[in-house]
Amino acid sequence: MDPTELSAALEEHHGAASGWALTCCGWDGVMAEDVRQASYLKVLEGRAAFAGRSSFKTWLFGVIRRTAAEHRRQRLLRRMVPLGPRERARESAWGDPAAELERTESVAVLLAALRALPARQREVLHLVFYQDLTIREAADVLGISIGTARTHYERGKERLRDLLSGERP
Amino acid sequence: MTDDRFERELRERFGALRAEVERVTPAFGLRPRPAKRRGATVWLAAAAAVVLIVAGRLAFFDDAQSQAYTFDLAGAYWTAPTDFLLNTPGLELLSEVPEIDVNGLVPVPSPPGPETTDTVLEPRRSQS
Repeated sequence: MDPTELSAALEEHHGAASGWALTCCGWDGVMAEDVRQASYLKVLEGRAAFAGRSSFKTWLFGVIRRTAAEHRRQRLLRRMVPLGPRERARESAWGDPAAELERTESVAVLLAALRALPARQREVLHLVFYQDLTIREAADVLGISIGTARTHYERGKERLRDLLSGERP
Repeated sequence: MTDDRFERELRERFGALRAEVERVTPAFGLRPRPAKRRGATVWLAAAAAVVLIVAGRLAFFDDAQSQAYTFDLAGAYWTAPTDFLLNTPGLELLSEVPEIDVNGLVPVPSPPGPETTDTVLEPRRSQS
């Protein structure tokens, strides 16, 4: 794919990529924006090359997930070596998406329930119900077997059912 | 609640979440690459400077310590307590090259045959 095609493909999946980046970053707007931008740059600069073995969306989600993991490691390092006020003062163009989203009650309830789930279960459920991927595609994005993805899906769904119905997990 | 019904409910809830996320998501575009973080560089430079200073001080301290304890090896003499074990009987025979008494040699007549210019010497036999 040439840069123009890549750019068009990124624009097409921008909304979905934003939602996935937020999920990968625990709904942290600043981090999710950094991750999304870093992932786009990786794609456009050829540091992440699309080989066509899966759909572009699945592949892009994999790039975003790995980039989020890199950012989490960098953030951990920065906590050990503080970088000064300029770095901490930067704000996201997104503002605080979690706060924005939680204005709607049903969304706030869902976000609270999702936060209570283990990361893998949350990611599988997001990919299936938010992104409309199949469990196999979700497994490809997460780099796990379809059996493992199915287990996370079933357990996550059960836990979410308990949480949303107000029962104790 | 049946599984299908719950899945439908989940899809509706996630659909509402997706609509909200898309509402607050900024438009597609790349922001300029951020400048290199000078803060990290400054911290690394400071840490390197501290390491160099400490290493320098340690090296200087070690030099001073070693100078305080140096002594002249040429002026010292030491004998191992087990040195006497090396003084074996006949040690003097090993310390000098034996000499052969050339004057005690007598010429031996050459055997018959082609003449040679070489003279063969053999030790003089005692008369007794």
